[in-house]
Amino acid sequence: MSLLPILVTVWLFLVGLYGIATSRNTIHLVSCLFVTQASTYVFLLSIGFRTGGTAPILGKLPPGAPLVDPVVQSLALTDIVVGATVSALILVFALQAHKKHGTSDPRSAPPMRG
Amino acid sequence: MNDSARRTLFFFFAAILAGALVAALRHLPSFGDYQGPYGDVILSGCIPQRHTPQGVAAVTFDYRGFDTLGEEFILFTAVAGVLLLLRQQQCERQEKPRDCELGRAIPATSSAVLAAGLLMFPAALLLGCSLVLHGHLTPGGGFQGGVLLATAFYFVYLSSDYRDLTRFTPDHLLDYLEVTGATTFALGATLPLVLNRPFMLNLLPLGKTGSLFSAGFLPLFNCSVGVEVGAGFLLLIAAFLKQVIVIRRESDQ
Amino acid sequence: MDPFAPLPVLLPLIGAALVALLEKFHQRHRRLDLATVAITLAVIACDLELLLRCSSATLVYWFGDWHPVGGFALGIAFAIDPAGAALALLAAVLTLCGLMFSWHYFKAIGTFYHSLMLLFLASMGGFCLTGDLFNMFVFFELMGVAAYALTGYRIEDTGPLEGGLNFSVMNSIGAFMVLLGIGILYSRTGGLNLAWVGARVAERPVDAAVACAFMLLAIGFLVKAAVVPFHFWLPDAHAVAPTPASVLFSGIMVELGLYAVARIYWTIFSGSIPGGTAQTLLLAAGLTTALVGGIMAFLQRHLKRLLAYSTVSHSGLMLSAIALFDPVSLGGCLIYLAGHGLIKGGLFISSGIILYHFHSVDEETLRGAGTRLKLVGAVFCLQALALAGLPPFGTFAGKAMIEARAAELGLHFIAPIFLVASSLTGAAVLRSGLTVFYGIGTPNCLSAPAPAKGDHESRETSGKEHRTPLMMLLPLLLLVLLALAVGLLPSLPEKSLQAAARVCDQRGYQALVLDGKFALLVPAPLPKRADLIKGVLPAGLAVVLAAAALFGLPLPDVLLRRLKSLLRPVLWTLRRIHSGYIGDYVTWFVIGAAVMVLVAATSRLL
Repeated sequence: MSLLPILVTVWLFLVGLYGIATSRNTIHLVSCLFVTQASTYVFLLSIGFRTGGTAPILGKLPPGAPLVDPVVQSLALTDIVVGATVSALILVFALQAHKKHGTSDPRSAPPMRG
Repeated sequence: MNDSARRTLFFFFAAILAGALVAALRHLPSFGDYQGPYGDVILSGCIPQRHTPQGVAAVTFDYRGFDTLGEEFILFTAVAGVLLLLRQQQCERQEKPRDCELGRAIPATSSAVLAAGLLMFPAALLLGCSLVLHGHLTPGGGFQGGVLLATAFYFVYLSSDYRDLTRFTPDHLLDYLEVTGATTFALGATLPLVLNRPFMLNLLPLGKTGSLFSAGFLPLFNCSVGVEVGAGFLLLIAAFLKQVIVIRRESDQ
Repeated sequence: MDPFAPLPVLLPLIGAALVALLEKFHQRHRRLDLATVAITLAVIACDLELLLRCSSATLVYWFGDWHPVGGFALGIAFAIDPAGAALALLAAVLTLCGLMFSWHYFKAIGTFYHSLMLLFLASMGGFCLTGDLFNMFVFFELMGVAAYALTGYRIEDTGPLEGGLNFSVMNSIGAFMVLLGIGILYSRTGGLNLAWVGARVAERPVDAAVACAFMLLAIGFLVKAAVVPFHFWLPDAHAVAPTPASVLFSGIMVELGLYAVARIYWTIFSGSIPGGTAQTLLLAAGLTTALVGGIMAFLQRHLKRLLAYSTVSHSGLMLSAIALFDPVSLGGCLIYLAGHGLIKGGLFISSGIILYHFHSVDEETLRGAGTRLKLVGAVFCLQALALAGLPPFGTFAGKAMIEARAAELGLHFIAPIFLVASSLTGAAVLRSGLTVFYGIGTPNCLSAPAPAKGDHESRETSGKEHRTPLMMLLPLLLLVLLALAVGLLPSLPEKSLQAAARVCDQRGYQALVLDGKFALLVPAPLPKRADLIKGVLPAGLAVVLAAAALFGLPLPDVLLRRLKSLLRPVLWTLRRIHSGYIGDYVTWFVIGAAVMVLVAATSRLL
């Protein structure tokens, strides 16, 4: 059981990279980047988990109830915002390149060689 | 590199990377066994020190508020960048939005879709506002609520027409709202500095734990982030839609 | 706590938002320029003030007044030591020069250029000053987002779009690596403050997880530092970015990646990972980068791409200096970093002036075109020699310290590789300078067939004057003079050694940040002054190489043909590897990352 979050993290990370390495469409490439980023969400949240723990909102909880770590949730929140905004920016590159070439294949027109 | 060589290389080294990562990560404390201390210290301190039961909000906007300020400006930068890169080029012009399927009139919105939109718009708007306002009490907060606020206006586009969306959300208003959201947070955090106290100090009255006006700066910061995120995402959506619907190359005439 | 501490970040952040607002009201270029320059000047003043104040004791600033409780850091801290403050100052100075250059520059308005430059400045300041692991990541991303947007500024061309895409994808992947590394350290230590994490990591013997965390963080930051095999994005992005952005990219952003590696090593891992395998690995990567960058620079005819590859090469040199894991070589590296940043900024401004006049940055089509630009030509060639390490520029002083220390440590192979790399880059720049400004020589078989030409660059400027505007020359001269000053100030080597010793003092850092106790530190003694002959050598070799490229080798034809047939497959392979295709770049990334993490997981870096 303990291995599962690690395996999911590593799998998401590498499968995303594989998608980027072989992508034939820039939009698809950005989605793959998002998959890669999802591995970091999984990893961060799994670190702060505590067996039987509930959300770190104290409210009416009995004292001593196990709570998961609020810090990693805050970090994951930052990570998600960063991911959403960066992928918006990369999508713009894809969109403009598509307008210019009429194709979204990143292999069609490499910028410069050598 | 040709395709197959790249694939072979990738698989070989990805396998090594995967093996090494798994081997290394196994040395960490096992799943479900978070050991602290950061989270525990904050959970034991957030009610007595900051009068908020919401641990995540306390971390996001108070204990590690400076990170959030940077995060907010990442959003601001990305929106500025997208608007910069999607500006109208010299070889482009704007034309009236039209149905891309040439030779047919714009179909009227069906009443079922319109009804769904009329239902969802206020619902999403209210839920968004509630998430933002209660960010320091319940799950949610400025970022989550802000995205929902932007979604509400997206329902307008989905259920009717691009022109209705632009009428609802004029670009210059969104610009002001976005800047206002970003600066309110930054200036609020600067206020203590002006009073010769440390930057980001939460110096507003902390109020009674669990009430709407409590936890000092937290509700204000939540609202400013909510406004910025909502306006920012609407600007992003509008910029992308404009590219698809309004802007045409000169040569496409 | 010092009220100046947050200002280098705060002023440009608020300024950026207000300038964005101003842009909506007044579509006047000049007001935006003035406001932005004023804010940058204020940041320079704050950085200078901080540099002076922290010279006696490191300043620690706790945001929100969250002082450590019982030695545990609750909030985020800025830990400002001379090295960080000096880098922030360098970033602000380069930003000022970029802004001055763009005084006459951009025709498009209402496009957030000024806001983005200010946000870039804020992110670099925060990155230099912070003492918190995750805060470092936040500013790393902010720096990235501003840089991606600036790279793509000229959307009318294809190059910026492709360059921006490669840049943003590779750097995002690097950022994920950083995040995974932060996750490991957080899981192990339960904190994010550098001092706290370092103290907890040092408590128990290093295992594969901690070693892996170091490697993941290093990989992430080395992507930004453009170290082989993570360097491919750099020439694509730096060559196409608008000139003021290129100045910042090559002058400081790349170096900040290296700074981050040094910072996390010394604050977190130096107690438990004593060097050994990690040192070998980073040293090998650094020296390879230095050579590959130098050779690739020599093979270019696109001026900005040439300069970009020379940045790769010098980044490799600086990584080698950091990888010695030694305070003295780190001190030398700091001087070298400043010297290189100022020179490279100046070179990019020169190439911007060429672009302003001729709408081209192609060495071959511009052959002899720049003869009327007397001052710029002379300065350009002088900078080429300074890049190779001509005394008394800052590059010489820094490199001499690094080489002397490496020889003391018994690493005698470092100096010759430095010599080759720096003379190659110097020769490449000198060759293009002599070609463009003096029309000397004929096309050579190495750079003339380069596929990237840059002979049809779109115009960046609105006005067209015959003379170079004063506001373009001013930052160029300012940068050259500053690079001279870095080499000439007699107290600087000692100061930089003190700064480096402060960075390397893990226990002192922890005691100061977590307990507020400050102990005075005795820096290592100055290595003996290097003879000037040593400094003239790479510059001389650069002249010889440039002459050989311009006039051909004085060899019989048979030998020349032999040499060419020997070189051709090597050059072909090198060019093919730098394919410009993102899929290849990611594959190289995985190869590099696999090797580094494997070493960490197996040998445990001991």
